[in-house]
Amino acid sequence: MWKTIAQALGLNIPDDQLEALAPALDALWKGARQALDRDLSAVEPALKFYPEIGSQP
Amino acid sequence: MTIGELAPQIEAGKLSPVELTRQVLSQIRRLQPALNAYIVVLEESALDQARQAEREIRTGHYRGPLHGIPYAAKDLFYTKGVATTAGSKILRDHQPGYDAAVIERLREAGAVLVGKTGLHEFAYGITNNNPHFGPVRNPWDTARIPGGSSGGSGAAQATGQCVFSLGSDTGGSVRIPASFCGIAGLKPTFGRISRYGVFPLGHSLDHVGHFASTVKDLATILEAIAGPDPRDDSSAREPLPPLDLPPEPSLKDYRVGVPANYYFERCEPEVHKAAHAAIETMRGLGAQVSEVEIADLEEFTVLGRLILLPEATAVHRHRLRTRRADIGADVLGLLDQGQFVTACDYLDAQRRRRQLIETLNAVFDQVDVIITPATPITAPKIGETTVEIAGHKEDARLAATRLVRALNLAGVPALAIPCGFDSRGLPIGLQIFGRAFDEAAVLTVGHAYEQATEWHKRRPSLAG
Repeated sequence: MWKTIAQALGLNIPDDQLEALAPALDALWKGARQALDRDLSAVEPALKFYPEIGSQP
Repeated sequence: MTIGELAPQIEAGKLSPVELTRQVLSQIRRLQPALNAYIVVLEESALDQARQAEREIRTGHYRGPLHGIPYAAKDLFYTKGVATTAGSKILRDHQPGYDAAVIERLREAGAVLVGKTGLHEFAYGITNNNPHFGPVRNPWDTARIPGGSSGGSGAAQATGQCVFSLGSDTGGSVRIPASFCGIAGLKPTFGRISRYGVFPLGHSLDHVGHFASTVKDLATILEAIAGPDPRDDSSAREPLPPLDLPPEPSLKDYRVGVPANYYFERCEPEVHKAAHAAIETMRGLGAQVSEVEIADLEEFTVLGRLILLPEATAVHRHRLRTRRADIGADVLGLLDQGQFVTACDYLDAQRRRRQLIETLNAVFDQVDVIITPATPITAPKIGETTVEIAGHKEDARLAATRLVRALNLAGVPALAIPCGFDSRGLPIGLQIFGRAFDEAAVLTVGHAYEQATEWHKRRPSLAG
């Protein structure tokens, strides 16, 4: 899967390096799905991040 | 050497900043071959700054407790006209045209910059095993890592190669070296210290932090470098309250939380034991100790990586395409991983991050500070990619960051201080964290603990 994505995006990652990355990417993907497959539509993203409302400059 | 001991002598004219700087430079010369803590030593300019400090103090222009005090900066803080490499071969000749805000503030305070310290390449890792500048070594056992990414600052601090040092913390890069080197390290609240002129790793996670020999020194430094800066759009306006740490080690009014989940679940037994002994010491000082539960921490640690990966890749995307061969293998792998995170996952991770902040804020309605081990392990050996914790193998990088990373998402202040040594003689670190902008509570608890114990007074034998 990662090779297909890498080729589609034109990432130019050599095959051996991509193969070495695959287990980390698989684990990250699995972890991300567990954390993010939920309805987060009502939550504000922390794009411009402040740890406490009111601390903005 | 502590600022608390040196500053009154300097102010009284009993200690010459020039002599002190010479002493520090001599220590650097002696230990650089063994530890490789510095990328560049600024001998001439340091002595010039020290002479200027001496003149000013002699003529009655004492600027405060950092005047004439030698310090080191991780080599990602911009220094005008002096190469700032970020630990990268690509930036070996990069000479910024301006100083980082924190360097400016320390110059105004009269501190003396003695050199720029080694770091993990682009601050993206915890080993400091840098392929371009060589490994920085742990002063307690030179076959081991000092922790990173601010490992040069940690090793220099632990061995008297500076009186204090600057680092940065995106996923534990101040607290991990503090833990592995047996010194005090503070990651203040996100926005507390300007990041203007600091080479970025992850823009929504990067914090400027610092190291010292005592918690009281950390407070003194924070007072000098904290504060709003319009040049950094993450800079907060929240004023830093006076950090008058009480002389008596009492925690009578403090509510100390001990996590019932996550933090103590997978630690080396000696780390577990030392952290619990520290909590008992705090109870003995009058703290009200209670168990707390912080939900979903494992998940937030994954999200921390999910946010950092594309943020770091965005910083380096052009280099990734044009200079692949000049980037070390481990950092290259992480930068490549960042190219696979989708924008939707990144944004949703930032939404979940809000929920972590809300979860933590609710816990801080019950307690003032939370105590955990800083790292579940003591320093691994150089080149060791997996560690064994209570019979289970774990990736060394993920193990070292497991207890610290979520706090970069939350942006709350977190302190690491020594709380013991393992049977191999390696330091064990304790983490104390509190509500956003409440550095005072975190430092007060750390200071009280330090006064009641002797761990922070131990120094590695090669420090002399």
